[in-house]
Amino acid sequence: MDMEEHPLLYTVFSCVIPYIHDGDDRNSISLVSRNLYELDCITRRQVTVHVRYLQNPSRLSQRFPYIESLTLIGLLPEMYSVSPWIKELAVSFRRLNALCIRDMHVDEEDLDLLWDTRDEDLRVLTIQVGDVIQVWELDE
Amino acid sequence: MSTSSSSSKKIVLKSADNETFEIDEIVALESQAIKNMIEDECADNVIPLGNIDSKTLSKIIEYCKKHAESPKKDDNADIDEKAVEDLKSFDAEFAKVDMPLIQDILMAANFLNIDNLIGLMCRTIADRIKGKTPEEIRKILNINKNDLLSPEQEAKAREENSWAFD
Repeated sequence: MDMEEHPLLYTVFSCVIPYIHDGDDRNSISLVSRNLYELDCITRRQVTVHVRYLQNPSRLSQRFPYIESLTLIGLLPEMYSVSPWIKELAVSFRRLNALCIRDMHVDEEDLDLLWDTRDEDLRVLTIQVGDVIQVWELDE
Repeated sequence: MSTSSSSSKKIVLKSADNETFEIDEIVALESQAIKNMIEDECADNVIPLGNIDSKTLSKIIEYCKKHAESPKKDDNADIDEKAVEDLKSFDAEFAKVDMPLIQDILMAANFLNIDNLIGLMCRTIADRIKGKTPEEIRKILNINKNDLLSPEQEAKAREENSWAFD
C-alpha cells in the first residue's frame, strides 16, 4: 500500500494491457482503479456496441478514443438509424480503420458523409442486414 | 551447463545494491540495450544497473543464460523441437514467482530491452488476472486504496461497460 509504487504499477500495466484481449477481463480491469480505468480507455482497440443501450455516440468516443475497429449492432433497421454514429465518426475515432454496421438503417447520405470524412483511413466497411452482408475493402 | 570456455569475453554487471555479476558476453547480448552499448563501444568493463537490485538481476541472468545456451532455430528440425519444448518448460518454471518479483523483472526487462522476457512476464500477469473480479485483481496487484474509483466514477464505468463489449 505504498503511494510511491503507483507510477511503477502504471508502467508495468501499460506493458501488460496489450496482452489482455478478452472484453470481460477488460471490463473487470477498468473497475480496479483509476489508473487502470484510464489505461483501459486509451488502449482498447476493438469495441462492439449494442446501440439500444447507448443513445449518445460521443460517450463512446470519450471512453475509447483510440479504437481501430467498431461494430455497431441495432435490432431492427427501422428502429435504429446509423446517422448519429456516422456524424460522430466524422469528427472522432481518428484511428478507426474497420467499421461494421449490423441491423441498422443506413441511407445514401450516411455513406456520402462517411466517404467524405473517412475515405483516407477506413479500410473495411461491412453492412449487414439480416443475412445480407455487403463488404467494402478499401485497400491501398 | 554453461560451457565455460575461458577464452570467451566476459561482461560484468553491477546491481543497484553493488553486487557484481560476471557473465559471458553472449549471455549479456540477450539484452538489446546492452548489445547496443557494446556495439557502440560505450560499455566499460563494468556496466552499472542502478535501478535493478541483485535479486532481480540474478533472475534475469538465469533467464538470459538459458536462452543464450539454447540452440537457435537452424538446420536440424528435431533438435529445434526438443529445444523449443525445453525452453517452454524452463519459462513456465521461471515464471513461478510472486507478483512483486514478476513486476520487478518486467520493469528490468523493459529497461534492458529483453523482448522474450517482457512477453513472458506480461503473459504471466495477464494469466493471473484472467477471469478474476475487480476485487480479486486489486489483491493480486496490491492496488493502493487511494487509487480506487469513487462511487460515482465506478457507477459511470459500470454503465459504460454495459454497452461496450469485446
